[in-house]
Amino acid sequence: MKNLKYILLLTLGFTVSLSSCEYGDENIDPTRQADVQLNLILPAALTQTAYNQSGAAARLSGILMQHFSGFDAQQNDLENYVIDENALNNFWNFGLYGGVMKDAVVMIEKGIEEEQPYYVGIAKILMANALGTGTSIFGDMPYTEAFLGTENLKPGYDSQESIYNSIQTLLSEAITELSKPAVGGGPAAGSDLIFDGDAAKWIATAHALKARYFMHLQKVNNSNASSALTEIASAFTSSANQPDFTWDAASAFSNPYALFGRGRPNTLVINQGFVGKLSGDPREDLITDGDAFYGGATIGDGGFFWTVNTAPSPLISYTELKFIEAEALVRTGSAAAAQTAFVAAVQSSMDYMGVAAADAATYIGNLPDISTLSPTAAVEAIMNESYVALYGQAELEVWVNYRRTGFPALTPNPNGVKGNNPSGVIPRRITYPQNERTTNAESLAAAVANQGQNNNLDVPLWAFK
Amino acid sequence: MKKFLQLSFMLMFAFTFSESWAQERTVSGKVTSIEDGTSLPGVNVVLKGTTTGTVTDVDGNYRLSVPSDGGTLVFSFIGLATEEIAVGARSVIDIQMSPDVQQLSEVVVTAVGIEQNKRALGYSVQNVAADDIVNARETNLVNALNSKVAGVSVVSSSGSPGASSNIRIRGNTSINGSNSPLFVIDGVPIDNSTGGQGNGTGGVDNSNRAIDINSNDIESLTVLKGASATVLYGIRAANGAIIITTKKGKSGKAKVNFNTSLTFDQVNKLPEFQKKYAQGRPVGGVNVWRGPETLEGNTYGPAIADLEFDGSDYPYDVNGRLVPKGTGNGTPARAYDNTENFFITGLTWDKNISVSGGNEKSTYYLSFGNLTTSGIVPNSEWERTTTKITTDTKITDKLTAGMSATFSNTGGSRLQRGSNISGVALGLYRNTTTFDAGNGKTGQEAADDPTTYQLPDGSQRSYRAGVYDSPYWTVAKNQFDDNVNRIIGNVNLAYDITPWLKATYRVGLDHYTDRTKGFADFGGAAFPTGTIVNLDRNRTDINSDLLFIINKDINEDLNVSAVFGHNYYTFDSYLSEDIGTDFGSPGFSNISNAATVVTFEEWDRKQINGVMGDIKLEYKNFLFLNVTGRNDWSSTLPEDNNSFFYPAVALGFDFTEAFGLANGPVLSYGKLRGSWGQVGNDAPLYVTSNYFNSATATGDGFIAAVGFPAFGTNAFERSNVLGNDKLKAELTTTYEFGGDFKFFNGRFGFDYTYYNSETVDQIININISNTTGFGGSIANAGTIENKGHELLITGTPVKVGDFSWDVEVNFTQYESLVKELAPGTDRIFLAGFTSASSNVIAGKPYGAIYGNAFQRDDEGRLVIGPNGWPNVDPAGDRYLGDPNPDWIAGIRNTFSFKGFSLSALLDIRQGGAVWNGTGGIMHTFGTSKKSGDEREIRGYVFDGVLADGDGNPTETVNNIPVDFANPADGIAGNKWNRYGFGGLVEENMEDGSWIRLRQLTLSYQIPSSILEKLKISRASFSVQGRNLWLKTEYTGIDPETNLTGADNGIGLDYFNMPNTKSYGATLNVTF
Repeated sequence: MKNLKYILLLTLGFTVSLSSCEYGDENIDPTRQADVQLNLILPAALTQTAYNQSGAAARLSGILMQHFSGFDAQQNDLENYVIDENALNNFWNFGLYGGVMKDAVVMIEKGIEEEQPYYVGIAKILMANALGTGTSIFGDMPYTEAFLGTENLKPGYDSQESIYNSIQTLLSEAITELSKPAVGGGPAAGSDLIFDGDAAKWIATAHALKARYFMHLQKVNNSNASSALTEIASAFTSSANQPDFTWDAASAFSNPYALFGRGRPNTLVINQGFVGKLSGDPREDLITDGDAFYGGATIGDGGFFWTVNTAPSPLISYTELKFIEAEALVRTGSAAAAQTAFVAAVQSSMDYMGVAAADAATYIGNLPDISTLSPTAAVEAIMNESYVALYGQAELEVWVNYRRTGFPALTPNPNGVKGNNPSGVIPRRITYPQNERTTNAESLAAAVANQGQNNNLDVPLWAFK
Repeated sequence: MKKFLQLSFMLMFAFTFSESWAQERTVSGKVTSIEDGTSLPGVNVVLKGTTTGTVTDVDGNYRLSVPSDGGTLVFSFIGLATEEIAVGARSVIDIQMSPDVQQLSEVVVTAVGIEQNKRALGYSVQNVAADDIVNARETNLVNALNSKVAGVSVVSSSGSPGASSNIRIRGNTSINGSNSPLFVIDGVPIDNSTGGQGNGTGGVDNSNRAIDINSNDIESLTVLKGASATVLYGIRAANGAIIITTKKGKSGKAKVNFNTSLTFDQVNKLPEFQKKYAQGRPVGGVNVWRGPETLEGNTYGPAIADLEFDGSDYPYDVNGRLVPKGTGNGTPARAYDNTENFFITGLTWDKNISVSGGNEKSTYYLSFGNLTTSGIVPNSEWERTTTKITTDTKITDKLTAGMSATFSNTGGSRLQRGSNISGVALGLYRNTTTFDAGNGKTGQEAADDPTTYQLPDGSQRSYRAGVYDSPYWTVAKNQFDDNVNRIIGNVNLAYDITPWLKATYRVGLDHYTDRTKGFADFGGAAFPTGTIVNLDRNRTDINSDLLFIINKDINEDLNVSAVFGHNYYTFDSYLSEDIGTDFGSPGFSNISNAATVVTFEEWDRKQINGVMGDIKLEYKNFLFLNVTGRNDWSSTLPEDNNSFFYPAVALGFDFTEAFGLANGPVLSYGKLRGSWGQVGNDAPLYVTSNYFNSATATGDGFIAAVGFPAFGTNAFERSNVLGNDKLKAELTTTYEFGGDFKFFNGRFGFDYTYYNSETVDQIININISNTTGFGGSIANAGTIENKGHELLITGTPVKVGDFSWDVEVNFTQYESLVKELAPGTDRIFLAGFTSASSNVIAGKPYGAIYGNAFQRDDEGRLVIGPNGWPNVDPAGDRYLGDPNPDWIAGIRNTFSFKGFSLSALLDIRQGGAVWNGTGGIMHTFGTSKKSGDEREIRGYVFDGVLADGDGNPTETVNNIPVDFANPADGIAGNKWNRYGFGGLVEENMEDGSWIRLRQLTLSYQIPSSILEKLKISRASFSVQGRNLWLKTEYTGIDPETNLTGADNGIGLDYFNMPNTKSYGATLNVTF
């Protein structure tokens, strides 16, 4: 009997413990939120966009375009076209899809639900820009089947043509959203790090981006040049109204070029050939100390306009827009207007970088009058100038222009003949990231097959063929 | 327990040998323990070849009549080694008896602190003697277990003071969870996570927290290996358990023990450097010298023999710049031994004092220990101070209470290492041979003199003028200090309810604060404007066990013992981190010096409730059946599905006892055992729901992320990881069988185990395409199979008189195979870089190394491009090697003669691939011996077939010659730059096999005849060496290294700090 008592006691003890296992919020992370307001997502999306624009893809484009030289370590690999599926793996995963594109998707969804059209509009602009960035590097991209979570773990790739259509659609929708009355109130001033909630400026930016992405397809169909001109008419009309993202003087929040210069010192320097091209240009001292070869100016050094901590990252600049306009006018046979846009483009670059008016005037005075040149020569002149003006602010666009037009004339690196670049040309695209191969292999293989018989760097993209 | 056994045996034998025959003379003496000098009652003393004998009394004294010619006395006692002594003419024979770990009575501490006789177990456990741990003289307890236990593998991350070590019992099973065994001290599970933020690919070598344990306090250590052994501990012991019992006082007069040891450490193996070529690179087709002011990173300059100094005023070399021979001042250029000059002799001084004693009612043990160690790198140091108190009191006849508390303070100054441009090894091994990093000085002297690493203008003096930090700059200016205050303690009560039922309650606490401060001064390579990182971690683990212990003889043949109980466990870990940048003043390491400060906060917490039951049936002392089960409720699982049950069953069969063969002349003992068991595991914290994380702009790979708050606002973004509220517990099922055999009265024995365990429904963060909007998804998926053989052989080949030679061999072979991962996912990254990483890959061993490789055709031939160089595989990165060893073995030979004992522990590891990333980078920069020896190779034709225009292999055999480093091809054209920074991962895969003399100890037990005069009960002196000899084909540092320390990644060497060899002496005195 005595034993029975203990057995009962034991049983009781277990029953008590069996019934006492609700832990409430124990497994809810107290340091993170389940949801946040839109105005707390927008700054992340804008910063990521700017980080993408001046980060890994910009350095790689700049190396291929011979603005920079990979002097050492991993940057030397890029210089030699040792470019594999790891080159932009992080960029794709955390800069684009897991970065700004994810933020944009969340903002669009929440913005529609909460009837806040301005957030929806800005998010669509950022999504369009990210797609434009991605497609001009890789070609086909997942979009219409993307962002469905576990509903579709293997999103198929849209053709590059479809991606460019989506970009235009997104930008048109953005303009519509941003034109709506501010029912839900505009973005809070501190949240919109670019325009402080000014919807009109975002609309002008959307038009400018439409012009850029129409012009990407100029070679596919010259009517895109006319479309670009139509958009430019509604775009911003001065550098002061361009979408600049301004970085902070504090080193932790500085421009990615400055971060790179500190984190990876002396691995990336100004290309010797580019230094030669800058000779006599009043912007030379703002870009390099003139003694760039081996141990001279390295990217991120203090003092140079585009690589200091506070250097801006314009989403698209007035300078770029005027170059687009100049080319589009050449392409549509308006030579005189093209010359005006061409001069305005160079002038805006000089003004933006703070070149003395007299020096700028001298330089501009020495430029060829493109209205007197053949269309090809005029385009070459425009590209030669945009090559300098877009240095540091739009490296990817320089690479796009080169692949599209063949200008400026650049000599490929003689060490660049590789197994995946057998022709030894300046690479025409970057290999899709490794993570896609290991997680979305079939869709990726279909995309590669859709664009050529192999995965090599010298296979041109549909848009720039 | 032992005392009890001794007394009961004394009684038994007292009857058996109550009468002694009248003989011509008597011999008397005293039997004492060699361990602690105490007297041994109940020892059986028999005249060999006769039935004449007696047993020692309570004071260990005996008296026995012997024939006039003396004969031989045999002293025996269960648990002690039998001694045979020829009487000769002596009438007094005092002997000291030593414990015999091979004997059948080996008592092991099993789960929840239950002591059991090893022969009654149906699963494999192994004891490590306290002496074997202490004698290893390892700072880190984990290292002291190296090559001593079958089934256990230990890899230290480096030889740096306080560096963490990776310990695994039977390999790796978990993908995202911890694979480290549970450490239990006196019944209290303690935290063994790696301090700071763990070991990353950069940063410093942090400590695994088991390092806070002072080995000198350990009484015994038992390793529990399989699921059957650990099921009572529940999920936290899913990877096995290390059960540590600390010393307690014994009733009797106070005993004071003092021991001290002094150890000298030196670097044991370094990569080889070339000494033929100067800093520089080809410019315009000619190799030119380019000095530090050019920031040149390469050592592909002219031959040193072709250069001389010019005597000019040059801040980087007192002899001036280098110029071609014949154009300078005639002082020949020279190569410096920078690496050899940098390392110094480290010193470890350990001192411990303990006082113990007690009376019939209570016992006490008090100890104080302090260990200081300075590393082989200047300014690196680590210190541990511990103090411990343990008391046990009999409150009533039925109620006993005990408590134990250990306070430890540990920490030191750690080194930057790994992938880190402030890393010591990185700055050192990349350093060009024509630049004297020490500026005429070496080691500590160079580190103490700012002119070594700083130029008069305040900028850095290094071979690349500060692109990488000079190793001397790093040790002087990039301090990283940590300071841990920890208390581990328990309070326990035991109440004898009835003679066969006992209740015990124990509550244990493990609490520590870990404060680290990382500081990089102005002018460093990584943070030119300076940075401070203050990190505070505050962790509390509480464990409560209520147990009912039953032990009852049902009848003569059947004994039942059982344990039922409840366990509650909770931990709470809070971390705050302040990162400050942009200093106002140089050299001031307070956060107030930073213009920008970013703060982070983390809070981890969890609770588990468990109930358990364990029933053991013992039939006729030869058949042992054990059935165990436990149910857990974990807070990390979805609330409606947080309960999970797992059972185990084990059977032991002593067939020698069953068939009356026990103590046979050849086979003395044989037991077969088999067990089957399951152990569940819960989920990582906080994965059952979705979150918004503090936002960061990232995705670059080369630059720092920009984190919010920034630009005057805060920001958040949806977590990249998709939570899952449908998770269930993961389950590992293990079966094992084996046997334990002893021959020739225990002179030779072996213990063999085969095990197989399969983990299913692993809770893993499955890598999914980021195009889905998420990069990872938490799910139950994947199967990992572990199987292996463990063999322990013990023997005494020679025992003649006072001389004995003992051998102990333990052999471990295991395979951890990833059978499948989630559908559509074939790889999960564990640790490493984008280029080379350690992974789980379906169909490959756990930890598989993955990276890029040469293209090969179907026959495995290299595919050669149009320029004569092999092409890189266009299919992308692939599996390149298994970092797990094929097998490991420890062989210990011990030679004893009178008070002398010489013990040598040989450690063999066969196989285990290591990625020598360090070597690859040294080739790229031209500092390695290989790149020096091979760079003149011209006209080399790679063995392979040519590729066609699309890069596909043809049948045409390659005939295109190439030059390895022709200056005309520029720096990018040479063999070691052509394939990218550090070359292809495949090129740097090496075999990490080794044979080493892990431990060598010569000790001398000072005879009691001398000690008695000094009022010392016991004293010994020993000299020991560690890692004195190493044989390996690995071309880098000692291949016992792991970049990511105790984390799950294995087999990566990227500027890891070297390992050490050491020499030392120990004095141990007991009063």
